[in-house]
Amino acid sequence: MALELPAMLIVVAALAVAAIVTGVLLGRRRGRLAAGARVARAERVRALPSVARAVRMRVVALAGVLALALVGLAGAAVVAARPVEERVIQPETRSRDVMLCLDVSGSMTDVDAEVIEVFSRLADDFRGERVGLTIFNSSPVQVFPLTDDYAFVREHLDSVRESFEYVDDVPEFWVGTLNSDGASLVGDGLAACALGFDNPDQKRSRSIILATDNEVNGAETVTLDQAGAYAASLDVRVYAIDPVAAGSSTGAALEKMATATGGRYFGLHDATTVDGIVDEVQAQDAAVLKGQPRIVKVDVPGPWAVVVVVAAFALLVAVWRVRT
Amino acid sequence: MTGLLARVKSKLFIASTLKSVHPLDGGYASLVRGRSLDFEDLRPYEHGDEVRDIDWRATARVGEPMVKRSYAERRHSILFVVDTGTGMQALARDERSKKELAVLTVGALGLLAVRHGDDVVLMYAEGERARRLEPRRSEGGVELMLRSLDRAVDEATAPAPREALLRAVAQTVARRMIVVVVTDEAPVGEAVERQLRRLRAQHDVLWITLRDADPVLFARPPGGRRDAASGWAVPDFLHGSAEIVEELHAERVAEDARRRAVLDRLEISHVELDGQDAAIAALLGMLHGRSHARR
Repeated sequence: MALELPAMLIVVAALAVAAIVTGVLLGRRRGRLAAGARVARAERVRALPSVARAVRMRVVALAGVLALALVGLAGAAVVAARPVEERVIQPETRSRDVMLCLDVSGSMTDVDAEVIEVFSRLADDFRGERVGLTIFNSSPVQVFPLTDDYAFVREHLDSVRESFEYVDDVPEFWVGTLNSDGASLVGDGLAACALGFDNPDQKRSRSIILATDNEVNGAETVTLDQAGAYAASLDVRVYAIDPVAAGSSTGAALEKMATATGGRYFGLHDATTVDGIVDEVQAQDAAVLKGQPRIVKVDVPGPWAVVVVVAAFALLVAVWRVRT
Repeated sequence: MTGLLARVKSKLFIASTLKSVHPLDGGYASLVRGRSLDFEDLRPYEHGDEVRDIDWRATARVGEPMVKRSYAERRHSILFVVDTGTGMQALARDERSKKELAVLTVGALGLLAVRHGDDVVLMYAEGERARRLEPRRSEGGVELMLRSLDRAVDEATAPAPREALLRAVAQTVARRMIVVVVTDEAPVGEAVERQLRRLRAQHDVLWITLRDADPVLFARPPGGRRDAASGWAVPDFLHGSAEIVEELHAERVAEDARRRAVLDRLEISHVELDGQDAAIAALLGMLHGRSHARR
């Protein structure tokens, strides 16, 4: 704990000394002017044991009053001096946009469900991040745009995940993903996802979590590499999750594209889980975003203010008791 | 200035339905008169005379109550020894001036004395020294005496040396007198007792105690109180303490018992006066008590 205005301590001490001196002077003056009915041999009461007791109790009571006053004054002085705490703040920039870009071809359902579940859980901790969801098969569909309405996000993610679990032929929200020929048009999907980012002039961290097996089946409007280049031009990193075991040519292409945007490629096999991958993605994003640690001074008058209030109240009670 | 005596008279006669006589008159007889066997003459009974002094045979013969007079009834001198120190400037038990109570006491007894044709003498303390005034035998003389007393108290700067006063009586008064000591509740010490024993051999001594106000009261007195001699102010917080008041009361009871024991042993009539209202009645009580005394 440090004091922002340590001079206040001296000021308060000086005021206290001035008050005490004034009080003593006034008391002495009143003592000199002391009049009163004269009583013969009044001074003999000083020898009485009961008077000695009364004087002792008085001394204790006045000492208590004085102690309370000093405690209260000390507390007030410290509060006036503004106790501050220095806190090191690691500005963990929360200005992050994450677009979930899910390939909803039949083979990807399990991975999609996992990604969605993880983000549904993560949404609880989000403060300022924005999440969007785009799905694609032969044509991309934006389920919801980037938003920080986490209740809305969670609700939609949950309903999407539930729809995976039903064995409907075509889940309801897949409508629109099969508008053109072919299947798993990853290039088109990724481009659509990259187009979902807004406010390009704002300095935000932008990333796409792309879950696909990259088994393109049909004619893409833009290729995977073109889409990746476009994403890179928007400063969007692409993290690819590929359920196909490592070593495939499709996986290699995906990895090449992802690393070119500054992202990574994760092959989903036994040892890794979507959960772990997302953690890694988060960590990498955080590393990119981490700013300079800053020292911030925060006022912490709390306990001292309590001391002042309690001491002042106790003082009132004590003075009232002593006077009556 | 209204006469001090006028005020005494107003107190003295307030209870009397008769203009010129007062029950104290009868009591006064027992202040000055030893019941001597030396028969002098008879005179008609007057209101206030002791019933036991009535000569019943003479009464039967004359047809109206007759009272015996003895030789003892001659001119007496009453010497008032007043403790005119700073203590007398203080309050009496009734929270009124103790000086006024002393003036009332001396005035009442002095007035009765001069009415009966006796001399009154005042002795008071002036600083360390005792001062004795000329004997007086008129109401005007009593008035002067009371004024001297009043002034002496006002001008006092130290507690009166009671022992010195009594010693002065012993050393300067040759004739037998009735010595009325008017003082306060300060304890009767060894030295004073010795002086009293010495005085007792020569004089008829009466001891009138003017009770002091309590330094600590149940109710805080307005304006506070302080010691009459040193000016030490009694701290306000002491007032209202039942414990202290009780202890003061116990102290007073013990001191009363001690003083009474000493005075009774010396066969000195004594009375304690609480205040001006009850003073006359208390004096009367003492005088009546005297008339039933052993001698």
